[in-house]
Amino acid sequence: MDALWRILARHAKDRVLVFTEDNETVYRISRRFLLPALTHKTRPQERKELLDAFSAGTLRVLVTAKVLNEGVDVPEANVGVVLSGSGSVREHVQRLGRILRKREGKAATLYEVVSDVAAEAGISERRRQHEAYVRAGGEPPC
Amino acid sequence: VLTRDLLLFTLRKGRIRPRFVDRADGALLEAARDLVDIAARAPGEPKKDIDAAMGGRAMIHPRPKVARGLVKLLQDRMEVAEPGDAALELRRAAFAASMAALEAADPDEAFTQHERRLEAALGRPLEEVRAALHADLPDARPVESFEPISAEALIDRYNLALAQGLVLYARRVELEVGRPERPEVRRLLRWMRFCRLVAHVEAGEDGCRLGVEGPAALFEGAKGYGLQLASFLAAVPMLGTWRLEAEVELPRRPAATLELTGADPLASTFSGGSGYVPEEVRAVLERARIPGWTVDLAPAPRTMGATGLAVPDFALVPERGAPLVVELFHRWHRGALERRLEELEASPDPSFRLGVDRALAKDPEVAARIEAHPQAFLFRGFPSARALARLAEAAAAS
Repeated sequence: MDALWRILARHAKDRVLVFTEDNETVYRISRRFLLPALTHKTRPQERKELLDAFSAGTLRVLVTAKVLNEGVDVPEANVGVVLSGSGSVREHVQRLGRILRKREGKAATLYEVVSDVAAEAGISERRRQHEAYVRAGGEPPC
Repeated sequence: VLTRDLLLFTLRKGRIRPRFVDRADGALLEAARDLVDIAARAPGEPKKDIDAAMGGRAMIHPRPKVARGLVKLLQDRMEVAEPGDAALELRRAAFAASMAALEAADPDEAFTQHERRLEAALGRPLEEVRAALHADLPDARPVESFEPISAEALIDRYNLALAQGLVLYARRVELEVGRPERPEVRRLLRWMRFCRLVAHVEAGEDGCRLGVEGPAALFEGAKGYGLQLASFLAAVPMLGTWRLEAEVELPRRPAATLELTGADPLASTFSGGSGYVPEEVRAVLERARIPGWTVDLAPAPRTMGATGLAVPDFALVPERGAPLVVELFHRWHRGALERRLEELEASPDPSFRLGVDRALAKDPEVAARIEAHPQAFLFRGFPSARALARLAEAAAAS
């Protein structure tokens, strides 16, 4: 949570997507930071409202689990934060795509917040071997 | 109904069999009683608390998956309160305040400083805001009502749900019932019409044989149709003597044959007595008061072709003369409609009317055939009172 706060404060003027592994964590973060949450439980009208506001810049942070992994385009996002993600390379490449899409030459940053547990750090390292991460450029993951 | 992960069955040598439970099993009855007690206390309590209490009780049962099935069936009997707008309004205000506070944040400042700014902007304790922020999530909302059930009936319901759960994966269901003159068979056929199933009814020497399309055979709307089929299946055990055979295609499993009979521990949950009429139909009939006509909701099946039987939805009966028999075709019934049109062409029946749901008539081929047919008419959901009156007037005029 402390790492997430530092990232949010550092990117206060950017459009940030925070990805978590499950809905429970989405709502935990939403409550702690008072940030908009987007999950499959979000009612369609509110979902549209949140995405429109994110697109317009009135909301600059969205916290989501898997609902944004496929089928939703958020070209305005330029910072992604993955909190303790799973080992699925596909999901993470899609997450990268969410924040890199549409804008040619757009600089984007993807953070991955991992705990000290060796296994989680190993998974993160494995993911970063994927060519999409090499192509993605931007700032190196912290 | 039970979700696939909760279905218990044995699949061997091309045959699939639900693992029915024994309603005399003492430990299971005790678990069912405890779970029913928890569910009965649910109204007014947050859904998530009830789910946690039932989940905890299910875990200590020797067969937790069976107990979780009971929990699912009890959850299906609960209504959760509708969400109000209070939480949504709070979120709008909280997120706006959060964005403003974030913009003013110094990258090196502590989170507590940010929290103080937030609290000042919102004008109320942050913990209070956090607690109410997502109070409209289904799990957080209170249970509004619970439809009571006894422990024994819950176990019966569980056995039925095991069978229903497998039939949801059927491509086709064949059902042998008794003779159509039997009142129970008439009720079942009528219920089949209300469930809007795609069925072909044949009359044999030993009784009727229903061939019902399974959800796996449909290209669209399979989920809704599957639930209709499950509702229909709940009525079948009332027949006493019956036999069902279905080809079941569970994902990532070989196709297998399911066979159920009246000897299986299945109890009907069909609450509709002989006079049962679904609410939507009742509403139309109350408005459709046609002078000189009455509506018969249980007309006798009519022979069509050599062995086929048509099960009309209702008949408009004049004070004098032959009744006007109406069969309705919904979005799933394209094949049945085409069959009926061919049968009517081969052996005309001037007292027969075909109602076609507009969802089915979206198909240009169907629309063209219906428009040209003097005995067909269109409706949406169920024919309106005005449509029924028009049918009667046209019949009287001719």
